[in-house]
Amino acid sequence: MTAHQPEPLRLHVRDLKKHYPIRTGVFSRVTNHVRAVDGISFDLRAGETLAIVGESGCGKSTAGQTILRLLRPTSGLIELSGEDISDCGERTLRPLRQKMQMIFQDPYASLNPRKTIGAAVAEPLTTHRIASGSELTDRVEQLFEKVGLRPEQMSGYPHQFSGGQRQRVAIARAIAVQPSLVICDEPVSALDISIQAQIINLMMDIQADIDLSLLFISHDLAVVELIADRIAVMYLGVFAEVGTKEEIFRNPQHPYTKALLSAVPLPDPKLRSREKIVLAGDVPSPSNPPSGCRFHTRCPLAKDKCRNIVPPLRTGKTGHAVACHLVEGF
Amino acid sequence: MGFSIPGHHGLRGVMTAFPSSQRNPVQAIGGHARSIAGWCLKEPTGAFGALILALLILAAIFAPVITSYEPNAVNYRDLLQPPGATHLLGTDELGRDIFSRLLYGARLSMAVGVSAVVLSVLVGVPIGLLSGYVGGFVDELIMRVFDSVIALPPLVLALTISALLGPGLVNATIAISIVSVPTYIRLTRGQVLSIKNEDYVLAARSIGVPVWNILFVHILPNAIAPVIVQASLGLGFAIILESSLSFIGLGAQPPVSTWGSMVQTSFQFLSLAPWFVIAPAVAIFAAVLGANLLGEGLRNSLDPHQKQRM
Repeated sequence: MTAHQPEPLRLHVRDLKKHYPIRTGVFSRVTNHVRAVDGISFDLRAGETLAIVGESGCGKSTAGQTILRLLRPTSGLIELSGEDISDCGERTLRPLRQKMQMIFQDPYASLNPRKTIGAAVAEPLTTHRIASGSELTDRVEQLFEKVGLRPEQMSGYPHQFSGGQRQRVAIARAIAVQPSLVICDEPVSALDISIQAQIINLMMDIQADIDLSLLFISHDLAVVELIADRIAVMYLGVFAEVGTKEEIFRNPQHPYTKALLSAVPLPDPKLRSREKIVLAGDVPSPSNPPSGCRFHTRCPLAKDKCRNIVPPLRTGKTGHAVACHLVEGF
Repeated sequence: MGFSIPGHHGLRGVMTAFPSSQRNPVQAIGGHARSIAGWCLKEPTGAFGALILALLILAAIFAPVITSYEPNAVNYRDLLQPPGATHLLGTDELGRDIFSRLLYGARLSMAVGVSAVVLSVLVGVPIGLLSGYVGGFVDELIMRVFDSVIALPPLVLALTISALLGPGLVNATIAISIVSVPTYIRLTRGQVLSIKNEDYVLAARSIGVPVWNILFVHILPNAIAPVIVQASLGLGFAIILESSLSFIGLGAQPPVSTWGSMVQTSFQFLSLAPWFVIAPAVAIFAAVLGANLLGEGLRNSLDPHQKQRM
C-alpha cells in the first residue's frame, strides 16, 4: 500500500511547530525557545502506516503528542479527516478524540496502577457514552479477546501483568472507540524481542481489521521495517528524508538516513563487513540548532553551503523527499 | 461487572489496597504486607500510636460506661481531693471528678481535632488538585495567597482568627482548619505536579476524559498517600492547637471543658493540687504522641522517600 492509492486522507499536517519557551531571570523573561518540532509536514491515508524514526530527543514524541492535541502547537496545521484541529479547545476536541488514540511506550506507566485493567479498557467507552451496563461488559470482553487476553483477567490490576500483557491492554483501550488514527509512541521498545513480534503482529492484524491509520514513532529500524508503509526520518525537529519503506531501506539518500541504516545490527556475521558510518559527537541542542542544514555538524560530507543555507525538503518524482543540498536526481 | 469501581478504597485502602509497584514506591506498602496485622509487625511504633489513639477514642465513646460520675456535677464536700479509690484522679476546685471530666473532655478534644483535620483536607485537597493541574496564573495566585498564611506563626494566626470569630469550640475548629489548610494544598499540589505528566494521565487526556474525572479518578487516588500521612500528623497538631486556644480561653467555654481548659483551671492550683494539672496534660501528650507515631508509621510504609529526609 503506498501513498498513491486513492485512499481517503486521514491526517494532513503542514509546517507543524512546537516550541517551548525557556524562561530565565527574576521576571521569567522568555530568552530562547526549545524547537522540539520545527516545521514538519506529511499526509497519512486510511489504512496506511507512517513511521517517524530518529534519535532520542529529535522531537518525534513531541510531534506525536502535538498531533493528538495533548500539546498546543506553536504554529502549523493539523487536519484530522479534513477537520482542522490545530487550534480548537478541549471542549471541541473531546468528541474528536474518539477518532484518534494513542499507545504509549512504557506499558508500566501508561496504565493507572489503581484501576483494574478492565476499567482501563472500559474508560473510553464510558467517556464517550458508547456503552454501559452489561453491554459495556460485553464490549470489554470482546476487546480482551481481540487482543489475546482472557476476559476473566478483567478484574486484575496492572501490576499483576507482564509488560506484553499490559501493552495488549493499552492496545485494547486504544481501539475500544474504533478510532481512525492511532499514534504509537515507541509501543514495543520497552518489551522483550519475542514479545515485540507478538505485539507488532497484533497491531498489524487490528490495522487490517478496522482500516486503521497508524503513526508509528520509533527509533528501532528493525521494527519499522516490519510495520511501516512509509518512513519519515527526523533530525532535530525537522524531517531529513521521507519515502516509502523500500525507498528508505534500499535507496537512502540523506547522509543521516545512511548513517542510521548502517547502525542497524545484522544477525548474519557474513554481512557485517559492510561499511559502517559512525557519526561523531552528540545531537546538538534543539534550543540552539546549527545554522544551515541542521545535520552539518555531524555530516561527513558537509560543504560550506550546508553550513549557511537551510536545505528545503525537495520531493522527487516518486514522492521520495530529501532535505540535502548534496543529493541530486533521486 | 468486576471492573466498574474506580479507585475508591475508603479507609481500608490505607492498610491493604496499595498494590506494590516498582515504578512508584509511594504506593508500595513496604513489600507485600497486606493485612493490618502484617503492618503492625512491620511498623511497631506506628501500631503503638494507633493503639494509643484507639484507646483514647474508645475511652471517649464509652465514657458513661467507664465512669459513674457526671463530669459537671459539683460537689462542695470533696474539693481538690488527691487521687484515691473514690476519685481515681482526684477532684477539681469545684469537687468534680477529674477522671470523668478527662473522659468527657476527650470527646470534645478528639472531635475538634478530627473535624479540623477533615475540614482542612476537604478544602485543601481539591484546591491543591486544581492549583497543580491547571497551573499558570491560577496556580500562582492560589500559592501566593496561602504562602502568606504559612508565613504567619500558626498559633498567633489561630488566636487572631478565633478572637475575631469569638470564643467557642466551633470557631476554634474553623481557626485550626484555616491554619492547617495551606499544608494540604501544598502537599497535594506537589503530588499533582509529578503525577500530571505520567503516561496514564496523558492516556486519559487522549481518550477525552473530562478534567474532573482525570483529577478525581486518575490523579487523586495516586496522590492521596502523603495526604493521609499528613492528616495523621495534623491530628496531633490540631489537638495541641485546640488545647492552646482553650488554655487561653478562646476554645471551650465553662462548664464544658476540654483538656486545654482543664490545664488552664488547674494551673491556678498548681501548688495546692499538682495532680490536677498532670492528668489533662498527660492526656494531651498521649494523644499527640499517638497521632505522631501513627503518622510516622504510615509515612514509612506509604512514602518511603520521606524516610531519610525526616
